[in-house]
Amino acid sequence: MKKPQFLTAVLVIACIIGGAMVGLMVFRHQEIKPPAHPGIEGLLWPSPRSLMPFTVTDHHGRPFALEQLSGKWSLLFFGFTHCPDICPITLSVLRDFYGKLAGANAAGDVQIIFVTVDPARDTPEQVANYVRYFHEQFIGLTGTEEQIATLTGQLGVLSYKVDNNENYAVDHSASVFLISPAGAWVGIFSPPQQAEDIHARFNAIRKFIDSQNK
Amino acid sequence: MRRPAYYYCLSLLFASLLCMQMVRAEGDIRISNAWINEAPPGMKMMGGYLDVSNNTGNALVLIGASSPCFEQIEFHITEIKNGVSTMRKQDSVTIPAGAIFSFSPGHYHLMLINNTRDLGAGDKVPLTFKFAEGGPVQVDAEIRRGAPTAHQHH
Repeated sequence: MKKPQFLTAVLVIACIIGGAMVGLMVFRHQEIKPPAHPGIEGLLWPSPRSLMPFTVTDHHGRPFALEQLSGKWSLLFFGFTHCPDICPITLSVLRDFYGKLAGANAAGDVQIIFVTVDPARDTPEQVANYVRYFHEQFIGLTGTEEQIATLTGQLGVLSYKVDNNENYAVDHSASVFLISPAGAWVGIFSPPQQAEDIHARFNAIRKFIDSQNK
Repeated sequence: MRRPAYYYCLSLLFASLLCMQMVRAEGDIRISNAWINEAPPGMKMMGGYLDVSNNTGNALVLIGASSPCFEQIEFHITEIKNGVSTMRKQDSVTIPAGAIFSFSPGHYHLMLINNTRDLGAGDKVPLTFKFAEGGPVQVDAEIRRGAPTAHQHH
């Protein structure tokens, strides 16, 4: 008489474990599966990386940290002020992009940030003269090489000095990096950039990320 | 029939004049659309752009450029490799026969180093170009506040 009871008990336990496993699998499946990539060029999805703390110096000589990215959409470009070609081109493109936003009265929560990869020559004053030429609202960042490395390292920005004469150049990543108001690296715009393309992609990414946060 | 010595001298002179004319061939090297991107205040490097038309029938080698407005002018090329922008000095630039060679934003450019006077949009800067085959060729470049979006090299 004990045998059927035993079998029933085993069966019940097996059902409970099996059900739990199925439930867990369904639950985990739902949890892991993110919304599909919406096909927006430049969007980093499904797992945008959150930026880690960093501290550099802005063009006023004040500290600039991760907190200064909070609550705003930030577009970052890395370059150096002794660069006569690609850096002014990209900053002019960003100026045009910013103008399109300002036209729509939406520039208030967008910041354009130039980060030097040549801190030896790019003092806060030098960077201030440089970024202000393109737009009064643009932000320029410099600091020690170690400080800048805490930012470039997270974004995979490469830079290396070429030659050793006083007019040396610095090879550097030419992409524009988009950081969300939550401090997540959500987009990258690769060269060659056009203001219209950046504008369209930025708006699409912003809409998509906002829809995910609802 | 024996020709007098001066005949040969004159022929030689005439031939060499003809050769010089062919080598100089300035009329067949045309430099147009020369402009310089205005730089933010205090910046020591500016980018210059132009088109060189080579109608000489032979390849031309551009070996130097100078201006009273700059201490030094170099030829550079910007290239984007795997998202990284590189800039390399070129000692010379070869312009094939019959070609129009463009120095344009994001590609070949003049690197104008250390301006000797203040330069702003609207100013004209005289540039002198030296070719291995002859020259010099002079042109005025206008300083412009660039709108490079439309010019960017792909």
